[in-house]
Amino acid sequence: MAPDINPFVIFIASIFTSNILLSNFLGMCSFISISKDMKSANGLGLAVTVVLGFTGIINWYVLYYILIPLNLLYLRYIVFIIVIAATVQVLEMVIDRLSPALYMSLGIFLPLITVNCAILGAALFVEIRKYDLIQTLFFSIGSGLGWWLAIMALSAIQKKLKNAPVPAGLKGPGITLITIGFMAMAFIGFSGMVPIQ
Amino acid sequence: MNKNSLVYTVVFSFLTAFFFVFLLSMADTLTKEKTEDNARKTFYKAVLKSSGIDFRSDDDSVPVFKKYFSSYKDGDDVLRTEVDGKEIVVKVFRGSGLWGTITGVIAFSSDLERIAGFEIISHNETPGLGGRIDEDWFKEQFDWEKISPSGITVRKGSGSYDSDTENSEVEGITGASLTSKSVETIINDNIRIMKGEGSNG
Amino acid sequence: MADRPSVIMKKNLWNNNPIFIQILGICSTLAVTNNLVNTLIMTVGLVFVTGFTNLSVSLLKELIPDRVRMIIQTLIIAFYVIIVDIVLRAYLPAISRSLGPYVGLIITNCIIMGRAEGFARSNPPVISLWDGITSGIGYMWVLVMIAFFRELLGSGSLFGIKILPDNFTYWTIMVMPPSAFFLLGIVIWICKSLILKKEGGK
Repeated sequence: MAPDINPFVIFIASIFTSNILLSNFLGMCSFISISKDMKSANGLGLAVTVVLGFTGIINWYVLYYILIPLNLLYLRYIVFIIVIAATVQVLEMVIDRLSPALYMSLGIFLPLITVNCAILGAALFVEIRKYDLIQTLFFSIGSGLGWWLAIMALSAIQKKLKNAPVPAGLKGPGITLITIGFMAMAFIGFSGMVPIQ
Repeated sequence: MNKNSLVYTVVFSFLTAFFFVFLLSMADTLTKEKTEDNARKTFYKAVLKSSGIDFRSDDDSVPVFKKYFSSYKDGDDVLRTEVDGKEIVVKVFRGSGLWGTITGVIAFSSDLERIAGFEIISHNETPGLGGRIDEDWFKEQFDWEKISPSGITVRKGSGSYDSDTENSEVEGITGASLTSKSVETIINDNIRIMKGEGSNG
Repeated sequence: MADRPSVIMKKNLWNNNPIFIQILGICSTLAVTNNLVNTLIMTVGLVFVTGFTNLSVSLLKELIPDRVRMIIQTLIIAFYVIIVDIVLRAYLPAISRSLGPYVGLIITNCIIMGRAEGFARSNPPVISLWDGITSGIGYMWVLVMIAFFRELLGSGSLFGIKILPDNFTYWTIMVMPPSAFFLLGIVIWICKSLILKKEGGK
């Protein structure tokens, strides 16, 4: 039984108050390495959102029409990750055929996404929270947008930080993490905005 | 044999996949009974703890439960028993948290004047934040809390513990005000359900 | 040529620590670091998965076709993670419940794939197992340390047992996600400064 929660609330919450990156720490690896450059950050953010949207829906169907009826729930991790890898592959081919320009900007990021924890994480959250299809759609896309927003904000901050006098040991990942910490605090401020219950 | 030939690749992938899936299904079957058993005991323990009945161990929860709730049938959502001369009503609930369904039990004194105890069976709140509603200090605040006409209030968390059982208030979870609010809503909804049922006889 | 076991250990625990040097795999586990018990169970699971994935990949390295290498490795990782999940569900149901989906997320922890690709694929089995285990432990000690401070200051307890007196004002921020970023940033700062100092002194 799906929880009785308005999909729109889920959508807003997954972008702002419970940003998948800032409050669930998912998708950190590629986040830190890509965030140095705004253009790549933008491309990766878009790619994550698109893939999350697609895999969210596909995994939902796989879960409720294959895994649960066949009583194979314990295989879900393997199945989800294969679905994600396959979706990414297909998307890569489709984008290549349809729009070479988009492929140039998005293509290189797609393989990176298979190992992005945010994608599998969202699929597992959908499973464990028993969302229905609409809730899944809103949650997946909301999470993607939230991730996109966070990586864009971070790369913009990093651009400003480039010339700042940071202590030697803190340079690089250290200061990045502290910056993310401040961003996470700022995002918590949104919780007054979401009128849940 | 060329390990990059198409036939080999396909055969190898299939064999490995088959092998791992086989091992996993074995592991799953072997632990299935244990897992189901755990789920049943989790329910028994939640009911017993909420009504303040002691049991020595996980295994002990089964006979103790059978003794106190002899008339229980699978799927019942209101259980009645008597502990130390006091009549206790246990209500099984499910309601929405911030992220997903929260299930658990609330025990009431039979006159519905007080909550006897509150236990959570499952929830999907964020571990370490909203997930802390499953910590003992939070749940113990409900023990013998008086129910005011407007129900129970879960205050905004400040990290302390509300030991006053007369003020109809408990301390919420710090940093998880929405989950705390959800718990308040669930409890008050169930108080209303129980009261409605009481007036119907 | 593979290094000696002691050298590998030193590298994985300090010089080339997966967290503060390689910044890998913080995703799945950082989320549970406001509680020591959860952190410990998660990282022990990770040590197990990293070790055995390395061992399996190394044993199978001659057999795995290049084209499907990644997907076979993912399969192996997922296999061990599911084992961890099944064991937790059967024997530690309470912890399994409080970890929620995070156990499954060990699959996408970059350290595991990183060690399998970077070490196990070109080294013999036993040393790969050792490399996997020490990498996992290198990861573990940093996170356990973070969890120690977060639980102590945020909830006044360690392993769920109250340590600090009741009149201690808890640092709310410590149970909230941002503190994990701050603490990790500080750990990286300290460790890197130490390493830089040592290199400068040479």
